[in-house]
Parts: sequence; C-alpha cells; structure tokens
Amino acid sequence: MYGAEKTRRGKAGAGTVRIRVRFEKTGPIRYVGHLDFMRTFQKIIRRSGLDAVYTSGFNPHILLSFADPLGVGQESVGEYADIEVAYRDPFPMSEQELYRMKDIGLDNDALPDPPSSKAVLHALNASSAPGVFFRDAVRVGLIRSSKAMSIVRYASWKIHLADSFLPDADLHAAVLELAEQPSIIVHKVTKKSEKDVDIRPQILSLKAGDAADRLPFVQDPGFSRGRYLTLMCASGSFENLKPQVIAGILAEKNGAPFDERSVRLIRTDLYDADQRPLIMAGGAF
Amino acid sequence: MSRRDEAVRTGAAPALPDRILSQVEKPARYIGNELNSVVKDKDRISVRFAMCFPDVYEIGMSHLGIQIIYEQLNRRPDTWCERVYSPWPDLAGIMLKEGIPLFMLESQEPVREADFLGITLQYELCYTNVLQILELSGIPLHADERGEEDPVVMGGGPCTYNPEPIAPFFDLFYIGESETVMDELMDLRKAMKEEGRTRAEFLHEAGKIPGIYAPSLYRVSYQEDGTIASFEPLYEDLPETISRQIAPDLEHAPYPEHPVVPYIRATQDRVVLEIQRGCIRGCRFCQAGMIYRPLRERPLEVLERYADEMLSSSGYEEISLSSLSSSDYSRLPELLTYLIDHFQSDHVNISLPSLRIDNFSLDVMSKVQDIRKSSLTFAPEAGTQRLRDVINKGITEEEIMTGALEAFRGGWTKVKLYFMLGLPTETDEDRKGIAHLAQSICELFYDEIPKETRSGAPDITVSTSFFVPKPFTPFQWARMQTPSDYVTDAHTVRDEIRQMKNQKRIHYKWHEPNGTELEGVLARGDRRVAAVIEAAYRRGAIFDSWSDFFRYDLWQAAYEDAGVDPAFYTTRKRSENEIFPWDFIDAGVTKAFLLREWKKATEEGTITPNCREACSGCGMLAYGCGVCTEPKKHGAGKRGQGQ
Repeated sequence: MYGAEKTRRGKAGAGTVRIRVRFEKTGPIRYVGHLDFMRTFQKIIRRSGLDAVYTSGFNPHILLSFADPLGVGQESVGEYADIEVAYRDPFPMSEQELYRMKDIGLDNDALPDPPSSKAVLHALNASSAPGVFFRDAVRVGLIRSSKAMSIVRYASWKIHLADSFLPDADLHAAVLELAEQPSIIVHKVTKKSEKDVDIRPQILSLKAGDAADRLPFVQDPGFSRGRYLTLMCASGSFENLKPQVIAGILAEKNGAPFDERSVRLIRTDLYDADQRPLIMAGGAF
Repeated sequence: MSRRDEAVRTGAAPALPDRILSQVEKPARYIGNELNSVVKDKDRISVRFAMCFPDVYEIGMSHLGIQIIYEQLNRRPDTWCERVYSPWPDLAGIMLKEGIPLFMLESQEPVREADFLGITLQYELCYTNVLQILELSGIPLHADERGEEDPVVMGGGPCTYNPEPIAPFFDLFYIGESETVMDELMDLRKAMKEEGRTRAEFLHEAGKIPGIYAPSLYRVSYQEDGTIASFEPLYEDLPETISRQIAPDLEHAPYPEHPVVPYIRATQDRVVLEIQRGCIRGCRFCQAGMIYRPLRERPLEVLERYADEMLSSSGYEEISLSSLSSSDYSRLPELLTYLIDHFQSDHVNISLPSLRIDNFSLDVMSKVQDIRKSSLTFAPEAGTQRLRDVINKGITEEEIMTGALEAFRGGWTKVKLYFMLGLPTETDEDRKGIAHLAQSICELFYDEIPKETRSGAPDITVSTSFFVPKPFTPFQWARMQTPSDYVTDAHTVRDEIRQMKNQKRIHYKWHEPNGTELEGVLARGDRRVAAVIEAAYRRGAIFDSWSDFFRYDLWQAAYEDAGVDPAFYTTRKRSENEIFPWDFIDAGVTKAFLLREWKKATEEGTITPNCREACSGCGMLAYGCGVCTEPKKHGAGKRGQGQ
C-alpha cells in the first residue's frame, strides 16, 4: 500500500518517491547540533545505498528535510526526516508527468523497483551512527505541503527531572494546578519585540510520573528518583513551545529558581494538526 | 535492554557530565562515538595507546597520519589505539578547576589508563599545547619525574627532526614513518609488561630499536659560545646516531580504508588519498621535501581501491588527493579520470590539490569546479628568477605566464600567488619583483584576452608568509630577519603593488610576523629552549599557532625567565662546521648534500635538477626504493652524481 496522496512531481532534480523515516537520536549524539546532524544523516543515507536524489550543481546534496530540529543536548525516540528517492513509480503517469520525467533525464520504467520498508530500514540501520536507530519507513506524498516540516503541529515530550528539581514538592498536585489554569502568561522578549503571550492554548496535556516506566537511557546519577513530566504541546514553525519553559514555570510557581540543567528532555513523537503521529501520513511499502 | 547493549547502541557514556557538556562550545568535540571509531574490550587488550594531536578536534581529525597509525595499531588484536585532542580553552579551564582528567575519546577513560601517550608534532607552535595535554592528563611535565604508573610519552612527526627543545618532556621520540617499527615497539612493551620490568628498563630497551630516541639517555655538552660541543649516549649499547625509518613499500602499508567520520565539520572533511609520499623537487627551504624523501608512489590500482572503499565506508561526499606535488604523480591523468568517471555520478565532489597549471589540469578543473568561483594558484615563492633559482623553486616566469594565459582563455579570472619573505640573499629588488609579477599577469589578461570574450576583470591575490629555516634543509644554516625587518619587507611589497598600473586588481595579504621569531627559535633550538617553553606555558601561553591566542609578550617574558636570547637561534650566523642540535639524527639526506645545496644557493645561485631529471646524490639512494630506483627516462643524469 502506498501513501494516500498521488501528486504532481517537483521541479527538475526532485525524486519520484518520498520516504518518511521515524528514528531515534539518543545517547552522546544528542550533543551533535542540527546542522552537523544533517550532514551525518546524509552520510548514513549515502552509505546505505538508497537511491537518494540530489540537487544539481558543483556541491550536490541529498533532497532531505527534517520535521523539526532538535536542540543540542535533547534526545528523541520520535524524530522524522523525509528523503526523496528515485525508484520506479508503479502508478500510471499523466502525460505531463512523463514529460517532466523525460526533462530531468529519468525514465520511470528504467528505475529500480523500490525496496520494501523493511529493506530500507535494514539498510539504514546497518549504515547508521551510534545512537541513531531507524524505527519506521513509510511512503508519503510528493507535494511540498505534505512534507513533515509543513504538517508538524505538536510534539510529545518526556521531561526527566533531576533530584534537585522541587525536591520537596508534591509534583502531581503542582502539575495538576498548573494544568487547570485557564491562561499561562509568559513575557517573551525577542530581538524585535517584547510581549506577553498566553501559552496555555499551546499545551494539550501535562502530567507527572515517576520511576515505573522510566525510559532506560537516563542513567545520570543526579536523576535517581526517576521523576518526569509528560507534555504534549505545540511544535514546529506554526507555533512552538519549548518544553523547558513549562518546567521553568512549574519551578517558579512553587517558589524555586529554575536551572535548565535540572531537566533532561526526550521528545517522544511529532504529530500533525489532527494529533496523528507523522508516520501515519504514509503507508508501508 | 541490558546496560551493555545500550552502550553498544548509543556509545560509551561521556566522561564529562551533562552540566559541563551543555555549557561548552561544540560539545560534540568530546563525545567520541564517531562512525568507524574503534571500540575494544579493554580486558582483552595488552597495550593501550592514546594517540594525540595537540590541537583542537577539528584540526586533529583532519590529519591523515593519525588515521594511518590508528588503523595500523588497531589491526593488532592485543592493542587498542584511541584518540586525544586538546580541549578548547573553555573546557580546559573547567577541567583544571575541577580536576577532571583528560580522557581518550573512544573509551572516555583517562589518558593515564594508557600505556603510551603518543603525540604527533606537526608544527612547533603546538608545544605549549603538549604541556597542557600532559598537565590535564595528570602526567608530570618532565620525563624524569614520571613513575611506573605514568604512560610512556612519545613524540613523532616532522618536529621530531629536531626534538631537542622538547626533549625533557618526552620519554621517547620516533624518527620516521609509523609503518615500520611501531609493531616492534608494541611487542616490546607487551613483553616487558608481562615480565614486570621497570619503566627505565623499557626505555633503555626501546632506545635500541632503530629510529627510537630516548632523550634522557643522551648527554649534551656545550661550548663557551653556546654551540654544541658533544652529544653522546649514556650507555654503550645505544646508538650514537638515530636513523630515520621509512616504509619502502607503500603498496602494502596499512591505510585507513574505513576512516573515522567526525560529526562536526573538520578542517579536512573529506576522504583523503595520499597518492605518494616524498617529493622530487628539492626546494631548498622545504623541510617536507627533504625529510620525506625519496618520492614513493602508491600504485594506481591501490588508490582506486582505496577511493571505492573509503567513500562507501564513510559516506563522505568529497574526495581529495594529498601529496607534496601532485603533478609529479606519474599516473595522475588516469587517477583523475577514474575519480571523475566513477564518482561524479555518485555526487562526490572531487577537490583538486594545487596542480601545475597546464591544458590537462585546466580541463580537469573545468569538469569538477565552477570556473567563475574557483581560482588558480601559483606558488612562485619568490619575486625574481634570481631568487627562485636560489631557493631551487623550479618554476619560471614563462611557465607562470603560459599557465595564466591558458587559464584566462579558459574563462578563469581569479589567480592566487604565494610568496615567502625573508629568504636568504633576498633584496628589495626581489620584494618589488612580487608586485611586478602580479602586474605582468594583469597585463597579460588585458593584452591577450579580447574585450568581447572577457568574463570580468582579473582578480589577483598576492599572499606572503615569512620564511623560517628548518633542520635538514639546505637553509638550516640561514640567518633569519629580525621581527621589525619583516614588517618593513611586507611594506616594501605593499608599497610597490600600489605603484602598479593595475593595482586595483591586485590584493595583498601578509601573515602577521608575530609567531615567526618563535617558530624560528623552536625549529632550530636546543635543550635549553625547553625552559622557555615551560615558562611561557606557566605564564599562560597556549594555542600559539592560533593568531587569536598567540601572545608575543608572554614569550618575551619567558625568554627572560629562562635566560635565553632568541637571537642566538634566529639571527646568529652559523658556521659550516657547527654541530647542530639535530645532527645526531640521520634523516637520510646527508649533511654534505645539504651544505652543497646551501653553497649552490648562496654562492653560486645555481639550481639543482629534480630527482627524475638527475640524481643529486642526497644520500637517499642507500634506502633503495621509490624514485631512486625508478628506471630513468632517456638520457637523464647519472646516478649518485656529485657525491
């Protein structure tokens, strides 16, 4: 089964198929910033032997886009990238599409058949860097508006709390109190302006939890109590809420100064406007 | 998932806690875990080797030599070679303050856990960084203060051709190419460790291995004028001269076919193919051209195989060739054709080294570069033919003009010209000649390229650096200029360029002369210079090769602290029979050859043909490999001439 959308092809150089992958970025590689990580990711694709499509010119690069850059130091078990590849499109093509293919020098019938989702995952994982693990690969539509970076609206987070974070507070009660507020006003200062913003609408859910279902890779000795928050909030270029802001508000509302190092952030997934994980926008192949 | 599986999946836990990694610049420098980095089970290892490049990660990761040693040592099942780089000053400050020991990237364990700390010495201005590496590792700076638990500190690389200024800080130096005796040294260490022998016993035994120099086992005495009187081993079973070791056969030598791929952008962020080692040119100022003799080519088929394997194992999108003079590689056209044919369709960028400019290289360049953006580079090194003959730079004005004209006709407009200032016998005429050469190239463009075919105006960049005499070159006898002379000389060039008709098309850049004097002192210094280095380090000197960090004032104070006059090492006239601090090393090229070259340069002003035209009897023939044993082309000069 293929992605729901059957769409027009992009301009010269664009691929015939767009593959969306969901992957993990955990462990020390969390200290690799987004730009460097993109270069690492390109190398993984090159090593995997996937027939990726490149831009033209003297410095070609893979047509690749990430849903939502992760900050330095943050981990994720639900990251997304869209990769354009050149494989045979099994759907019948319109005359216009055939013309365009010819124009960019691709002959659909001469292209190799796409490998299965499973084969793609296997190839990527076999070529991957430590800490990058590919979970899913699906095929999605080719139009610009279906790119992961265009449709992402929400992120879910697991915010691990250091033992030093509100050590004596009843976390469940504190979180409940915050979540019940009708509005949460934050004073935002940017280069251009200063304004008060109500971030409450950007929060879909906020809960507190403890050791029972702690993700395994937080082994920092300062986090021995295993307390965490789960947060679902706005994310992406449309509206964006930094999860550490929520931890900060929680600390300050309970009369403690906030130290950003008292939280470890793990993004668990990214979602579209319907709160569906982005991986659901496509189908396995 | 078990803890062990997690470690395999996500890598060793960082030595630095989160709170530090989240506050330092570019934390990815310190986490290791790069693709193709080698992690071994330390319980099954006999010898651990910490391989250090004493500069920041991005610089160190660009160095091919370390990758070769890394490959070579890690091929041994009983040895684990890991990497160490200088922490950036922000982290170094934190480590010193909090007492966090310097660690190896692979295991994230302290350097002190290793049996060896190998430090590659690629340029003299890294010496304060070496001291910081030792201090951060918790290893005493002075070799004679180290105990049984301290790693054996060992130096290698081009600066070991005069190791004396840093001799007190090292237990061993290795003079030569790693491919030869490193295995013997590892075997010795392993055996002596198993036998429970002492550090002193090991150093003594190691000193008997060819190419290994244990500085503490040699004694220097000085004459009243400060020059060296004698240099001799303390034990009869140690050699009086240390012979440079070379790998005669590069075809079967280890090569990093699975290079470690950094996460962050290294200075040299691409696959590097060392196509050959050594150089036939014999430029009299060039240390690399002397100490890596003879020229040894890697076979074309081997290079093709390396290119395939390295690109597919790394995922790099760029490949470049490395050598001292790539145009001299005898099968260059075939190699470049192979790279273009095989990899351009895989979207691999082929970056070309500086090639001699001719129709072939222009054709290749037009295929792999954007002509409008790329520039052509010439390195005439000196402004007049007279001085080019003195330095034996085998390039004539006619060749430069012909190359430039062909390039202009091919659509290039940008030309870069590299020169040195402060060369032996240099006069104002030579300095002004730099401006005249640049002007001639401009005129060539306007005279020869019809207006309707011009793609813009010529754009000439002239760069000068200051010459520093190096050991084992014919110019090892040369006097240096004083720091104020350097500025005057650069101004002479600048003012003359401003007099030129097309001066607006000529840009002039010169390197700051600040570090030049220091480089001169360290390059030809003796053991007494060590006290200066230590004093400068104590005063805060670090990253001296970075102009942002270099502090001339600290070094001036350090000379005073140590009671050393830099002029003794820089501007003093050296006699022909002076014993140099590095004379105990047999680098292959003989002192008689170097002296002959020095006289040809300064007294006769005559050139010496390159190794393929005629043998100049430098001494390398004794090694019986490379260009020395190549079949000579029609009627070339006799071998062993002039001995």
